[in-house]
Amino acid sequence: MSKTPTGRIFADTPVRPPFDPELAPVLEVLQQMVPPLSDDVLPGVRQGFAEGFPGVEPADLSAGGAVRVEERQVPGPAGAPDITLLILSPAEEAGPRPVIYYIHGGGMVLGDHRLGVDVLLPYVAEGSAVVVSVDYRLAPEHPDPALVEDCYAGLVWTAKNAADLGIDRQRLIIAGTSAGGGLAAGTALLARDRAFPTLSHQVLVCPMLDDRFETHSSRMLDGEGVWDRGDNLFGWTALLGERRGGPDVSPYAAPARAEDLTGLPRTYIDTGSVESFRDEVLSYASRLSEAGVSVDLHMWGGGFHGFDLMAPHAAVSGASIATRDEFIRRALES
Amino acid sequence: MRDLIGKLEVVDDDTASALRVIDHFDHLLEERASKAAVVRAVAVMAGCPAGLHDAAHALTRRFAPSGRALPIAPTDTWRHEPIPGHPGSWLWLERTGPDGPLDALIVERAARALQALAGDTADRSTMGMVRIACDLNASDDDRRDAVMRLGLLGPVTVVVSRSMDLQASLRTAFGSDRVALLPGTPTVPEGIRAGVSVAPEPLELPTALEQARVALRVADEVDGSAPSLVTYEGLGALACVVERFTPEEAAMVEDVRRIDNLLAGHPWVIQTLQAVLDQTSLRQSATMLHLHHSTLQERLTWLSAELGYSPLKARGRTRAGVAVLLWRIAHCREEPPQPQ
Repeated sequence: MSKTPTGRIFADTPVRPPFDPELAPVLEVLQQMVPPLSDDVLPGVRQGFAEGFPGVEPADLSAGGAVRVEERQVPGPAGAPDITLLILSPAEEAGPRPVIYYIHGGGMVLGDHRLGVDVLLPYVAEGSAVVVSVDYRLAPEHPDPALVEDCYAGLVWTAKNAADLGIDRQRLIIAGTSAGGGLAAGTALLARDRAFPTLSHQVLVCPMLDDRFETHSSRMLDGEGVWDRGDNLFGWTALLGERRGGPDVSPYAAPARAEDLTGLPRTYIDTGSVESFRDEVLSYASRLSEAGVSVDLHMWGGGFHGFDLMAPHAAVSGASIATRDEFIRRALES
Repeated sequence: MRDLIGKLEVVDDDTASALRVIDHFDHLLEERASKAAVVRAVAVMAGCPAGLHDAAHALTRRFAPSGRALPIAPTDTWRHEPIPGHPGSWLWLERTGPDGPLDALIVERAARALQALAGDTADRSTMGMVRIACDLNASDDDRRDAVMRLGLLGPVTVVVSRSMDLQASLRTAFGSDRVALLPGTPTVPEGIRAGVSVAPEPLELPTALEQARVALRVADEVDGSAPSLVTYEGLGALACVVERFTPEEAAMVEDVRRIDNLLAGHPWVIQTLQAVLDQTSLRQSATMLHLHHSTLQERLTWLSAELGYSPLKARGRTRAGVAVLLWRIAHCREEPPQPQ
């Protein structure tokens, strides 16, 4: 994989807002846990993700027996290997339920279908949703379009097998965090353009949407915060190689490039004010609105990338978590 | 992308962990984070609930390790970590089971951060001192200091009211409770709805405040049929009943429910019962109610039939007395001791 020297891409480092006072001390800890990404450190970081972090208990996905946990091998995209879906359903059978089809984060290069899924566990444990999480292939070993096509294949299988899974096909919610948020947006574009399946909502949590580095926020973090411009460049280059930033990138890989945003599902989208993705999120939200899509947009002042996942105890995280939870509950009850 | 739940909980007592604790609180201070943020950091690092009480401002904050605010609960079972230079302020960890590896360091650094955030000058206002003097959980040293600054020696009369400001130089508020401290045992002026109790000496003020609150629960409105000014000492054995019933429990008692049902169509029931209980003759009761005694007689005949007992006869009288007392508890506007 070729790597462009960052100096040539980033002529300047524009001003950034301050971090929230309660979040700032957490950044130090996070920066010690994960080094700046490069080809050299990626294997080590992946191993760390696989083994879990010291002191971090793996979540009990069965929620003490309230949730049935299963993994299924299902067909991948044409000509590609099968993919694994993690399926979490309420242990108590009771009529079809909405599904949250979840796409994990990890900068296109890290993580698996278990990462971050515990955040959605309460909806399953309470019996209000089925969660399906997809183990898509990762870059750079598998460049675009492997990732988004895997996500789409898993979604198609889920929709086609709705009856078996106890899913109400009228309520397909796609959700993703960070790179998973970008992939969720790309998968929603694919579902629209291929006319199957019909999604009711997309929940894009601090999504990674734009490979071009033209916005203010995509250049403002250099060695600061979480997922600075160097990490972001690494992630996009892993996914797109030489095509990154050029004319040959599809909107399914970088949804910020999509010219037509009409006909997309009801959207929830959020960002911190001190993260690389801020401006692409704001722009995507306003363009969705212009295209006639109903959008809930939240920007949290002082938040770094993924702040409410990594520092859930902070007051601003509480506000963000409660707001998103309230949206998801509305989406589930319809 | 580093989509991992930040794990800030301290699980080791090594140097790196200790440095991390110190750095975290230093950093919060540097950023001028809120006091609540410091308490949340204590909870998340210790992995158990933590709280801050500031007696001078009648303020309590409790947080779970998730950062969620917890309802106010008694703090006296936990070890207090005083905030240096701020009498009546302390932190605590709600640790059940063995201590965490760096509990002592966490609360100590947090206490220092809170001290610095609060500034060097402690609240020495009269209101603050009254609050510390009356705080059940304040340390004896802090209470002694507050009492001395207030110039209190010997007995102190505590008056609690909701309805109006009390005229007194030593006064404060705990939520909606207005509290006045009157040195000695002066006569408390009539014309307010209040509960009163006397602390034999100033260090017993917290108990006296609780007792005055008990008395307030059964005080009637000003110009009602029962006294609006109730002293705890005057309640005697009745105080034991008042203390043991919550308004909800009192409202569940069958005799109380019966009174409530009757009141719906007959608003005179409580005044009539009270007048009969307070006066020795029917004629006196009638005078008090501004009724002809035959009208009162008719009402009582009806009332006895409805209640199933006669409030005029010995046993019935006691039963009616207790029922009316419980009815007052059921209808007092009870609020948490220290609403925030």
